[in-house]
Amino acid sequence: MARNTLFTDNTTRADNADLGAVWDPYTGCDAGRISSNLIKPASIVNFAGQEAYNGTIPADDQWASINIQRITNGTAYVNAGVMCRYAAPSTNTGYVAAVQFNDIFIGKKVAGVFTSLASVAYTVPSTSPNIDVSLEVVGTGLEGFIDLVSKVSTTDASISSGRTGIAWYIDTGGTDNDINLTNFAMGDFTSGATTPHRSLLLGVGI
Amino acid sequence: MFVEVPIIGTGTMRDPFRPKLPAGTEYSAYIPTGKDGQPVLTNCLACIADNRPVPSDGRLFAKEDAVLSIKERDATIDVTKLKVAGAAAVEAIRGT
Repeated sequence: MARNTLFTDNTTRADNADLGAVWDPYTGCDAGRISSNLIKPASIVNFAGQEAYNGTIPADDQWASINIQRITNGTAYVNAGVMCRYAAPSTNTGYVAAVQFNDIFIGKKVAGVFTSLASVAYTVPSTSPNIDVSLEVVGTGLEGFIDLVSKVSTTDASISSGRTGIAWYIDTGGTDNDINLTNFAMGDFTSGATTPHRSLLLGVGI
Repeated sequence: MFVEVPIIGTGTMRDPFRPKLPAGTEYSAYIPTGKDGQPVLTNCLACIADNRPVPSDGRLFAKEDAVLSIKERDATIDVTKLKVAGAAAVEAIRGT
């Protein structure tokens, strides 16, 4: 199956404290803002930040991608990535694929509680990473990519539908410039033969 | 290989629930959770590279044991095929 793009946001617009009407922040999470044509955290109060695109709720088999312009390996732990099959903003439930300093991981949030389902080593470039992190969810298969190269995959059957969006985490001591994001894209897949998605407990590091 | 290991973490993005494995170990884990997001079991099944040691508090599963364990934990999963990826870890393919 090939990705079918339904929406893109290159974040090229005037600075604003809000990402725009098509973006929804999540209860209990920090929101994003536009600064210098990039998405940055609007605050670091809850540490975890999330925004979902509300313009199109894609089919259950869906994908989302974000370009990470900057992720600072400073004094604070940070991660950044995308989310799929996310519930409405009052319910913090969905899948996340994100990079942190030494790996790319896939996890699920259910009622705001996060579980890591798979992790594969990956070193984020120290300066100007300019990497596209994306997540595909097809059936119960979850697959994380960097620059369209598959890096990590696993299976989970607990969340079946929802929105796409972006997610990040900046721990105590971090700043709102530790994560800069741009070029969000999301969509579903072109019709055709369904690929038995790679799945359960895929071997890692081999 | 499949190992059964304890689940650690507090459920935050900084400290997620995850399999208890040595730092830096690559894994794919099966961790069922309840409606509150909490793991429903204290242990989980994780697939790690064959060249990693079995954790001292873990238990090695043969692939057949792993499939049985997965089905026991979630009967809706239809594991129809197993193969060895390269010379290392086992991959289970779900039915469609």
